[in-house]
Amino acid sequence: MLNVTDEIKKMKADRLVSITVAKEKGKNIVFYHLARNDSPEILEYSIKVPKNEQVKSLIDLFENAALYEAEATELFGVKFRGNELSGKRLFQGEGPPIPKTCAFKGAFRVTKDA
Amino acid sequence: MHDKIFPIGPQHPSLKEPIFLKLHVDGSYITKAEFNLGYAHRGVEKCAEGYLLDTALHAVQRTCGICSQCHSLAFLNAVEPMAGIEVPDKVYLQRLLSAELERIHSHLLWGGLMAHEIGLETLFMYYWREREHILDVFDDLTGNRVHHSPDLIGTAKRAFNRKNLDFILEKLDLIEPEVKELKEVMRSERVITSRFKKHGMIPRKMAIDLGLVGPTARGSGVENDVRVHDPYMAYAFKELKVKPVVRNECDSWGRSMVRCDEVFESIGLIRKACEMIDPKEDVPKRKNVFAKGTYGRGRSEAPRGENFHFVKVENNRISRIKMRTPTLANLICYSRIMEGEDITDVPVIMMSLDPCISCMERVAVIRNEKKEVWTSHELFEGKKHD
Amino acid sequence: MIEILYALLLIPLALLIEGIRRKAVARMHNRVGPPFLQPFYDIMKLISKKEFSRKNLVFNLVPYLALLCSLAMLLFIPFAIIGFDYDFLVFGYLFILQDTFYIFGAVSSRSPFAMFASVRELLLMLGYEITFLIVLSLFFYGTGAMSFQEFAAEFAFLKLPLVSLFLLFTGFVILRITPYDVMVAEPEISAGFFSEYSGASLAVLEIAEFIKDFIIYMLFGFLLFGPGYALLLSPVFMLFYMVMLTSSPRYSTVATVKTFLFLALLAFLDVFVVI
Repeated sequence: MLNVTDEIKKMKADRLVSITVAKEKGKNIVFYHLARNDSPEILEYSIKVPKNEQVKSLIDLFENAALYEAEATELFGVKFRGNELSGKRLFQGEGPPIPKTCAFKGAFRVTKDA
Repeated sequence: MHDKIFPIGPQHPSLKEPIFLKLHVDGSYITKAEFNLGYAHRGVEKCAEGYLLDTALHAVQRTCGICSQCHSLAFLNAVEPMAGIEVPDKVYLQRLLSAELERIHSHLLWGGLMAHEIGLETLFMYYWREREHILDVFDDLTGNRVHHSPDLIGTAKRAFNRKNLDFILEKLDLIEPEVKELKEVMRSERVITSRFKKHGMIPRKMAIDLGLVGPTARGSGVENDVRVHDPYMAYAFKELKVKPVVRNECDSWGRSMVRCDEVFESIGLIRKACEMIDPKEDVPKRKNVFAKGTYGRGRSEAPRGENFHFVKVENNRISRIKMRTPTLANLICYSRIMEGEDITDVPVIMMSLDPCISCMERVAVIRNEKKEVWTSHELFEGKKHD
Repeated sequence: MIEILYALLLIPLALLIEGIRRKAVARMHNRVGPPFLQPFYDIMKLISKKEFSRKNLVFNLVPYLALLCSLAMLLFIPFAIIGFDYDFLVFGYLFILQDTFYIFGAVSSRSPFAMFASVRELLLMLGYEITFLIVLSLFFYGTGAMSFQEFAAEFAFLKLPLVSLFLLFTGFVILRITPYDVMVAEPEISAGFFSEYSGASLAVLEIAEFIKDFIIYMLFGFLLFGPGYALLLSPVFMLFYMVMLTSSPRYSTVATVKTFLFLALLAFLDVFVVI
């Protein structure tokens, strides 16, 4: 398990802006963006996460990390240990009934014309 | 009494966009609130991938109808330093004009919806009548009313001339006395104050701990405005300094007053900017843009808070863009402030937080009667990946 | 018996008055509004739609029972076709019965919105039904008539001013004008009562509602101005209530309950004034 809490504590940030995941050559990199109240910069910290590793969650430091980590897990599969929303899909419980005729086959590339 | 679930959404007349709020009620008091998302996802982040920067700007601007210019500005803040281009002052001032007009339009829209939630249809129609003037201004400047997109990377699509600026000032003179009266209604009408005050309390400590942004935080005494702390583009000129509007009441009424006052602040900024623009000057021609470097970060102040874009560019094409919208930042507080409230107060509280759900959604796939949420790899390949 | 024909012809007139009311509300809002014949188009559209109904006997019957109640009320106002002693109490009872049928229908549909709406409706019924019956009886007692056929007092509001005032206040609650529309509050419980009805049942329910509203306007004209003027002056009341509708928001539920309980108290005091 990768522990990022100590490094981020050293930055002495006041607020967590965002947690993003980007891919570089097929590997996941997690970016943490933080901000301080009195300075105009955005602080950034990034860490490469190999395929089956988990990252310790930032929930103890910043509470709003819960949602961002849940989104990162849903879109990229990076798991965060200690965050109960992450790994559990944001669709908690059942949703509305789905008709039987809804089918999805094949791969669709999202294109945009004009 | 046993636990009953009262659903608000996904389709509900009080919500303007689909969000599913599951309230566990006991009688008519709420004991717990959970939310589900995903009903309006369109994959905008995926849409913009693989395209050149100008074309990606086109996709980014269409994330949301109400706050389209702020997404554009955040993207430009991220990309223009990477491309290293020099942008003239007139283009900065034009962008500021569009952004502030959009802020007025978004707050007037919010005001109307707030009145609709409590049953005052007449106030709703009056607010939206003022909003029509702003949409006329957009139509005159760019030709579109809602997704007006006046920006290109490094320049603008057209230069505003004398007639445009005079039209803006004329419309502002029409709107300002009306909005003053409407603000008086919101401020002093007894029914409105009794329904807004002391509901939806966000204490100052919670606003700081959860990192809330926008008028939601400014209504609780946290001074948090990107235009003040990190001035970008024309906000860095010394004549156009922004004074943030902060109140200490921490409830729905405080947030409403913050939004009403911001309209007047924006009107002042637009008037000053209109004086500073030189109407005879032309904007540079559109050129191809080459981005050096891989990662870009930019943020802007949307009508709802701080909007942050993180862009990864490979071979001059976008390979990942992440838009952290202000509604996503504020979403964490929805379930906490609903506890202990009455069901009838839920629409008022939801609207005072001003969600813009279309800016912030996820992907959901329905297959074989089960709902699955896909990772981006699965989405691209089109099959489930384990 | 020609009066029965007149009474039946009043049904399209009720729909037309509703259309005029909607147009007037829209003009107050500074917009154009729907055409005058809009309720007719709505009813025809609803009849042509598919109905999703539950297999519940009560749920299916309630719209027709409600329509029966409002048609029965047409027997008394404006042309009293049948009459007997104390028939105004039967009239008041038919009124309450129609609202009770709405509650039956809402509860039998078992949707959370409808249950919530019916709870609030019961709360309001505690107040306005009693007030309505008391005020109605006071009119007849004060003018010395015993039934609708005998009522011949012209401009009764000059003789009984306080009672007329309370009748107008009660009209707010009966017609579900904001702030008393908590039971059909659109943003909060998505039109609670009727949220499970669709198709032809909803069309019948809407017709029952429109007829009831029209009967209220005619009743006020009948009581306050006299039997001859009932039909002519009902649009005046419609406009009065429309103006009140567009200028008031909804209070919180507690405040709403307090206001009409206060009115009910005043109605009780009024009994002592008249007697």
